[in-house]
Amino acid sequence: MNVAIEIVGKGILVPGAISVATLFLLRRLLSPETSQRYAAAAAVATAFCAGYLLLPDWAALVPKRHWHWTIYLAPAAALLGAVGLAGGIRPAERWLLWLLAAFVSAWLLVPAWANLHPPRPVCIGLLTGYLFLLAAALEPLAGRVGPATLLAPLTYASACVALLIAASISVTYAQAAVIAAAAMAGCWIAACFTQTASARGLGLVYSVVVGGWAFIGCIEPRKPAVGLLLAAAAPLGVWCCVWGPLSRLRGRGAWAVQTAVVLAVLAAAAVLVMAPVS
Amino acid sequence: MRVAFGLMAVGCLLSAGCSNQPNNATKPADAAVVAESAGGSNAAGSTATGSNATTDENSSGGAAAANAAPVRSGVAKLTPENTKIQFVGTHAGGDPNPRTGGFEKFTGEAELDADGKTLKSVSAEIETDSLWTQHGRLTQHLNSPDFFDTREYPSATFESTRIEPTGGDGQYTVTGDLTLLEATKEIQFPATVTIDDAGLALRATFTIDRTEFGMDKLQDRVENPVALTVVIGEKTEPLPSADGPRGGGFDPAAFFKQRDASGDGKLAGDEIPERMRQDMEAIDTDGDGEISQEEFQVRMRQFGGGRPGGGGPGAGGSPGAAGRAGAAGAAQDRPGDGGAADAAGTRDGD
Repeated sequence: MNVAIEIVGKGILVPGAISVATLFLLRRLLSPETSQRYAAAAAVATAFCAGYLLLPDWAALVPKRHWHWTIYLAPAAALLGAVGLAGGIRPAERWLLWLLAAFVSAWLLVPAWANLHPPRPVCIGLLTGYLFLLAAALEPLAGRVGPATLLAPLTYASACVALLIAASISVTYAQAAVIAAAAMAGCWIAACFTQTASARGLGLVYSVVVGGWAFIGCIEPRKPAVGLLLAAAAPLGVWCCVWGPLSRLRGRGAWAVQTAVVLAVLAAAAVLVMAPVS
Repeated sequence: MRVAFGLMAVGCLLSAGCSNQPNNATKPADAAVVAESAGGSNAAGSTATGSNATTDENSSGGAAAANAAPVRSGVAKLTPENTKIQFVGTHAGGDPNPRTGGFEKFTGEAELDADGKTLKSVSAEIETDSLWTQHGRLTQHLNSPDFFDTREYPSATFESTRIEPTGGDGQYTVTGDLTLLEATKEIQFPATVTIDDAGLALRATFTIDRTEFGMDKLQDRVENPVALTVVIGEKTEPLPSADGPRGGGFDPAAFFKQRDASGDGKLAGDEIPERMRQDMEAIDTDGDGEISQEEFQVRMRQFGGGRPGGGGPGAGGSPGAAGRAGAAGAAQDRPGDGGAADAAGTRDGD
């Protein structure tokens, strides 16, 4: 099948639809408090897993390569992300749980290549920190801005990561990374039509799946494409309208500023990734 | 929004990775030309896919001996100093836009029979991440999991299992196991071998089907057959980068100026690229033994080349035989001559 058709059909439309359907279904099936924490994260994880299963056989279910773990890390991150937000769990316990999740993800996502630079232990440490900080910084935003307002930059950023991987690293990797973007887009669309939607619980799954794919793409070239890590972190630009002098902005003004900041970060990331290769 | 996102993704993915920007090489119309360009020979190369190899007695061209591998105790060590391994891939569809690449690091051995006159075995191990092309981004893409996946498979090997003389003039048929990515396949190809006091020289040009080795991504963008050239007797020297400020390309005026060391507006003696020297009769129309700017430009136009900053030679030319010859030359550049020597339409072996 033509790669483009395969990507659009199996990589974008199907995961996007599954994400929307899962979000609506869980909001109906679960109690409001539970669905607030689980629905979005579960929708993203389910859509990602479904899309991954539709990939050709090079996307193995029995992991042979570092990135094959993403299909297992996505639901695990969705679960732990939501559990960490449960009532009665202290912040320290939540951070510890997420730090552990980030470490295990990093352990599995960092390959054992002999020519990996920096070496694997250093990469594990760096990736653990990156995933944890990304999740920890994103999650509080869900309580401060509307779900659609947060899901929009998450979608832009995940789409940007997929596109940059496709354009600069590998179409093979991009076929998997674009699924995460489609899953985010599905959630965003559903959130636009659901007044009671919530983006809580998404921080860790976004961090592990989108941040994870950014890392996978980043380390593939001999000169790491660090711009991908910047692209995945771009949604943190929303903080500019939550904290600091710009937090006084409201409504469309706030939306315009935070969108501009996120897009500016994505543009910078694209410039970094697409810089000429010597 | 979803439609827009989809279109964005598809647009990017379609243009991804293996960009179709013009190369220094021209655009040959068929795979035969690509094989020719890879080998620098006058014939169309052979197919070495599994056990269905077809051979063409002309396909190997003459074995180069300029830098023959010295033989000691019946064994010639193959190193980048005396051997080159190159490949040419083409895009699928109407615009093949061939890309030449090769490997900078490898080791190997060629063993001779006790009499020291017959090739007995050949083996080589290639460090795949030493891959080079004329385009930095293409090199990066070929290293990726879409093609050589050099992170996961840092080496490729060839081990001959049978070498049979097929003629009295150094013609052999080499059979052996090629391991690339996860697959090991038997391939067979013709080779021309010269063994003399200087050492061993060999030239083999053939094609393999990349999908047989699991390199099966982007088949709608890149042709499956890949032309390979192995030359023992020539040093490995990657072709100069074609990534220019405006996407690369061959500028004949700049090249002429660069070669014209005396600044007299003519190329004479050593200023003339080696392969142009071989074709002086055709180029030097006034017969003064030098190449004027006009003669140089005429030569460039014959091969449709020389759009500064744009396509390479032939890019804007007709797809005729001359253009193809230019393509062959450009794709089979000998670094010592500089890329433009090929752009001038001269060919290795011509």
